Amino acid sequence: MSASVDPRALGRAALLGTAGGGDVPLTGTPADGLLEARAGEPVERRVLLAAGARSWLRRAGRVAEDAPEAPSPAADETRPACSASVARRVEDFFLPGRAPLLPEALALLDDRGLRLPFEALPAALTRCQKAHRAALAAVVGERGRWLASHNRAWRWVLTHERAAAPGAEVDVDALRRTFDEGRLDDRVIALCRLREVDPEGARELLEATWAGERAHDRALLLQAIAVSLSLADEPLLERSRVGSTKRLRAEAIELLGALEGSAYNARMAERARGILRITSGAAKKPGFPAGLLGRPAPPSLDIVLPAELPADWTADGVRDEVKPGFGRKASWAYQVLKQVPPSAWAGDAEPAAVVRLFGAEDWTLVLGVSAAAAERADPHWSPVLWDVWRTLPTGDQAREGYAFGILAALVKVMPPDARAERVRPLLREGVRGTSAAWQPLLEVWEGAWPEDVAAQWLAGLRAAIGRIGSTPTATEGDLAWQRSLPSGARKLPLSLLGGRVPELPPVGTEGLRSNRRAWQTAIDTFHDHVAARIDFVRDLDGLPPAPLGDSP
Amino acid sequence: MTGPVPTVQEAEALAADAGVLKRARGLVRRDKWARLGEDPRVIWGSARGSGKSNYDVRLRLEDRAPHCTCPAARRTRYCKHLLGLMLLRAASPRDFDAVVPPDIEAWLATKEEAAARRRAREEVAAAKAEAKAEREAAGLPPTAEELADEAKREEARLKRRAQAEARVTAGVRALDLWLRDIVRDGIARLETRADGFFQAQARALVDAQAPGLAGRVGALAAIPGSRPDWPEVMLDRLGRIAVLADAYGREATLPPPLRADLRRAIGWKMRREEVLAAGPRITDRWLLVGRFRDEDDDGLRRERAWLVGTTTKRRALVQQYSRGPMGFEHRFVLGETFEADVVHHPSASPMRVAIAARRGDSKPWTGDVAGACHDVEAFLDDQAATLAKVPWAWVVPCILSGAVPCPTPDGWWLRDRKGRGLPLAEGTHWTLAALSGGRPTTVVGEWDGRRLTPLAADLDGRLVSAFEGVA
Repeated sequence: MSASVDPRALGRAALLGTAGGGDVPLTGTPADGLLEARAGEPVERRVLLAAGARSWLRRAGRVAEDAPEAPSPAADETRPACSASVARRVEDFFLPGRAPLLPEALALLDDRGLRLPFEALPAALTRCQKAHRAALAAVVGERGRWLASHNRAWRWVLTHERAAAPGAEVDVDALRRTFDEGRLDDRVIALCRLREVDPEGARELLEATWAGERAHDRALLLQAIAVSLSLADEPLLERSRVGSTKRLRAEAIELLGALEGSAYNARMAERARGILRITSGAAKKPGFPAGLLGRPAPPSLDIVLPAELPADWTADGVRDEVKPGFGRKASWAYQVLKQVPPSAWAGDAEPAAVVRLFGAEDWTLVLGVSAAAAERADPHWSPVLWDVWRTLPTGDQAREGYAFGILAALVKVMPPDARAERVRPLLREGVRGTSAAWQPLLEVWEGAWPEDVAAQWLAGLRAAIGRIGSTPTATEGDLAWQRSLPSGARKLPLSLLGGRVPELPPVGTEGLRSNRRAWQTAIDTFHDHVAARIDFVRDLDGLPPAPLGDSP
Repeated sequence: MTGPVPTVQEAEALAADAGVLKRARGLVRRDKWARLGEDPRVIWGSARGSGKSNYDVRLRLEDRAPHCTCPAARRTRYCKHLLGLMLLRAASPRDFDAVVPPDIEAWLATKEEAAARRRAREEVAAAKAEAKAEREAAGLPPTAEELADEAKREEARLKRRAQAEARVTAGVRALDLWLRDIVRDGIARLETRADGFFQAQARALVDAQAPGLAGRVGALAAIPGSRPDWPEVMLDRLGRIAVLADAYGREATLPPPLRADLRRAIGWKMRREEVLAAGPRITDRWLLVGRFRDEDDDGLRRERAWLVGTTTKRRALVQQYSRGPMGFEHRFVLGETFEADVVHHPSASPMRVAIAARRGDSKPWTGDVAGACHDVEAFLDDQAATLAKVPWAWVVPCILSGAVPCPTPDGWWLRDRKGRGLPLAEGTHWTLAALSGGRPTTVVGEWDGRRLTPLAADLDGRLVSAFEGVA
């Protein structure tokens, strides 16, 4: 091999073209020897043959290169994987049309103590919508968490992680390093994980760097304090409450509100008691002890609003702004009341008795009380307040605008028994197709409907399908039945179905074609989804798919 | 004439995917059908479609010949209506009438006629073959008619062959000129060439019956401007094509097996019978260790199925193509074994096979993959040995044990137990990563000389697909 060989000469000659003359440059490889035999041929062909031979020699002569460091191995799994066919069904539920069935399927997997098999993880993690992340994170196993630690797009798995499994090792030093050197979102996650194992140490870590953090970052980092929140965190939160940015102050106030026994909560409760002053009936009429006639005398209510917005209210996040449809003072009161659990100002008084004391014009305050009951999922107050909003007379547009949202919020947090109690009479009305009021109640149900409610719904649905075409246009009441089919497909309890898709009457041939078609599409999807749920559970239990239903 | 009524299992097996089966289940209701009927020869129905008209759905029981007037039936053999009809018949026989309407009778008659014609042709051929075999057994000379038939066939074959040879030779000569022009003008000029520059030459090679060369030329179109050192890559590829074309001009000087490799690389096809006659049959239980699939813009699907004999430890490649609704001729399940006789295509380093006979179902399999390399160095030695025998082996199988996939921001690697590695194909390989979890495992892939495309990995003794391409 000649020392004067330029390994790039061949490439240069080909790049610029051989039209300008010159012979084939040497490659410095055995290809040069081969080409000597072809000396008489056109220079272009010899350039190409030299390149071809060199390519072949390079490939054959390739030596092994050093590889990058291997990643640290994933931890051992603590759960067995579900079967391949169950995994395929879960994969199916990630398709857009089936997505509503996903939460139940993932919850069932979690409930049985199973995880998804390794090979199913990348597709599931990639396709998962935000709403299903928590449910998926529960069944991805150690391998899923390991994958998430290597793929930024899947980092959310780590934030949804439940407290570390007993015995699982947490690499505190690595987390501390990430907190010290990582990107902002990684630092927040690291701090969350540290809070799980050592809340005190994690807070001290944050306090040590606090002064040097950017204002914007402080608000995000403070979110990690929500993990293992305790009264020991109160000083930091109180300092942040009067912090430099609006976002930081709001974050601190939210955490203080969530902190049982915080001075902030005590202050807000005191303010609420100042606004809504309950006097028990007995105290109002001296000389007549309470319960003399076998039941306590009804309490009374005085409403007192401050003339000006006190400075200490402002410091606790009450803003001097007017909500649409509210008076200015009522806006302040609303902001206070929605932070305070109703029992803090109503004491032991019966919620049903207390709500009767509000006049129709006090609805803005009732809205604050309702927001507090909804936020804290208060089981005693939420059903009673729902009754209040449902029976308010119509006429006030602003109020009706709020009523819609707060009814939905209250019905969501209401105990299922209270909800069932309220939906039954509405459903009885709805069976005749004259009312649609039952639908939102059934819609918000998380998990399966009670069996009797579900049976009532099925009966009403069959009646509604039988009525198709009996009126020239579909009534609102009947459309509610059609609209409820998707949630019915999800929420009919599996125990009621007994492993079979419920039979529905045929749509028939009467009435508007478009209406019949809409019904048929909704019924087909209903059948498909119910069958998919039944088959999923059967598969999970190791049974073959359900036999196909007989034709009606 | 008659056949068994369909079962649920059969319908499920005939479904092309879970989606069509799901939609078919939606049709398992009497009210979805305008009419339903059966006869020992046929089941039929009219499915209520979303439009004005119904779809006529028929299934001849004898040979499962399907018929449906829906648009989907043009793309797939068993559409949702056919599967729905079968499922409904399995679930609810009492919904089916027994009177055969005239249109069904007519359809059966045409089917029957076609079958009769086919049978007649086969009978004549079989009779001729039998007569010939008898005479040969008796040591009698062939009849004049047979000799004439044979001569006619041979003559036609030789004529076709000569035409093809001439066309390929002309095509390769034109390719040589085209290549030389590129080098004379300089590769730098290629960046400004119109898009059709490479495709035109590729089409010319297809017309010249050299599809192998055509594919390689067509692939060049993606190179200009693709990366900073693209001219080097281009020269490399042009060089390899030039060597191939040059070798073809001197093919007569090559030993026969290598000549067979060369002709295959150019695009000459061997008929199955020729392959089967060319070598010994190897009988084994074959394990499917990896599968590569892709689809070109024209909808042509390609599959490379890599097999390892569980007893002989031989390796084999089944390459198949398919277009339209028909699936691949041979269906394999990754990580499962099947018993078959195979014959290798003639080659200096035999790999590709034709399947002579396949027996029984495929069965799940667990265990080590035979013949895995223990480190990258051993694999590179292997591939160099293959290249020494067949310079045109562009894709070679790689089975590496004790390997860990390593995701890095600058690309993925497969690391062996000695810390050496092979770069993985561009893109991400999360399925492979999920299977390994950072622990060493056996990985099966295709090596193109530059990068490894993972196809499968071992998970607790069973092979699971790690291929990220078309399913």
